[in-house]
Amino acid sequence: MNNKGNVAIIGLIIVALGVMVFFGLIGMYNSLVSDQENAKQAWAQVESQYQRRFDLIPNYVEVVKGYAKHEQETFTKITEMRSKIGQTNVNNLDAEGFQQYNQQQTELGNMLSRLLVVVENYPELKANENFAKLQDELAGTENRISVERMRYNEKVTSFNKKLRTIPYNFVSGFGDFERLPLYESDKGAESAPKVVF
Amino acid sequence: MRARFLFFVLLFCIPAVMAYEIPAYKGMVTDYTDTLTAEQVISLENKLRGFRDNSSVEIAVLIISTVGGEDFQAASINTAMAWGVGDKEEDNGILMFIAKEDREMRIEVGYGLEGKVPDGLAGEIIRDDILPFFKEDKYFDGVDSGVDSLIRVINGEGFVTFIATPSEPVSDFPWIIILIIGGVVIGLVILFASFDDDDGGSSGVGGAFIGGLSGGSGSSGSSGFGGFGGGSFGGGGAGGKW
Repeated sequence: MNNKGNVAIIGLIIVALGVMVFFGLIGMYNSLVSDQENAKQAWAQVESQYQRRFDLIPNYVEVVKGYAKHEQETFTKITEMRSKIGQTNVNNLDAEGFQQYNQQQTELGNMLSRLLVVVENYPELKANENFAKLQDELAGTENRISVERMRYNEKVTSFNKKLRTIPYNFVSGFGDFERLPLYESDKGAESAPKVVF
Repeated sequence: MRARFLFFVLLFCIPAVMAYEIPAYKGMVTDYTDTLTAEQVISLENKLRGFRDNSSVEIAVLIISTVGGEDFQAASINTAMAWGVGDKEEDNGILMFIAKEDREMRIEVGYGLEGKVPDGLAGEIIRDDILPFFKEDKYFDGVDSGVDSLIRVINGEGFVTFIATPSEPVSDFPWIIILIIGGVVIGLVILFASFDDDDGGSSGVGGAFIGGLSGGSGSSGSSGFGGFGGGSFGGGGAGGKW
């Protein structure tokens, strides 16, 4: 009788432990899903700021063109880069495509930053209130891109880390979890990397 | 050039050694440069707290002397995020970030206000309402004028530009009118109360009313500041130098 009782108790304990582990695994799996989705959402934020800049550029170039005649080469380069980006299918990027796309966006950003500085030399342009507002919008968008990129990197880093740490890596095999790519600014960037919250 | 780039890379790798440290806020208005007088701070605080009470929008002002070579936009947004200006759900905060020795400022606009205060409008407020005063070393006037414009814009009233009148002092809140109206109301109350048979009741009403009025006109700047709402920022806004 005692033996049967002991076996029953041990059996119950094993089942209870099994259930706890099972729910623990579910919790971990769900947290991986949640982190992955957060990182994707952060990427969508970056992409939407890229789009905003994309839309602002033609108007900006048009206004500046009239005043800054010596910058023709810059305008052409900007228009070409914008065109290249416009042809990229953002939804179908593999790892290499992702890096290349971001590289193009970064180059576009560098060209625009230089233009933003150059227009300081054209007082009639600066005095034009409409131009000043366009400039504000463009500078604001550059800032937003910078902020969203940093936040994306933070989310990706935290997801990638979790993917590799001990309890989570058991569960990761059950789902479609792959390391996400970081946004990497090109090494030749002249502007200092921003440290953003 | 290479050395400078390397320096910045190192700076990035050691975030704890940033040249700019986010200062503690002292209220909705924080001045670490002793530019504003105590009365000016109180006047701004009252205005900003009143606006917050009516609309839940938090506008904060920070005046420091320098960001110490740090990226200006990063310093501004990091401060706004650390303080959490704006309601947590609405993200309706604004930080007026002023570095006096650097002669540079930014209006940092929270996610939730980007529609009402787009970058171009923030820039216009800086150019037309704030910088003309700053160029004449009239920091309170500039901040006050900027705050007024922001409040008007957020309320959807459009804004009137203050260009070309930097020599006029911004007028104080018209307390004299309040006193006159108050006096008339008290007079009416006493008049009507005198028709009341119950003496206790009439003096009670008059007393309560006077008590309420004097409480309202006292300064509320000394009361403790509970902190900001936890709002978030996306990098929107505009900047300017003078």
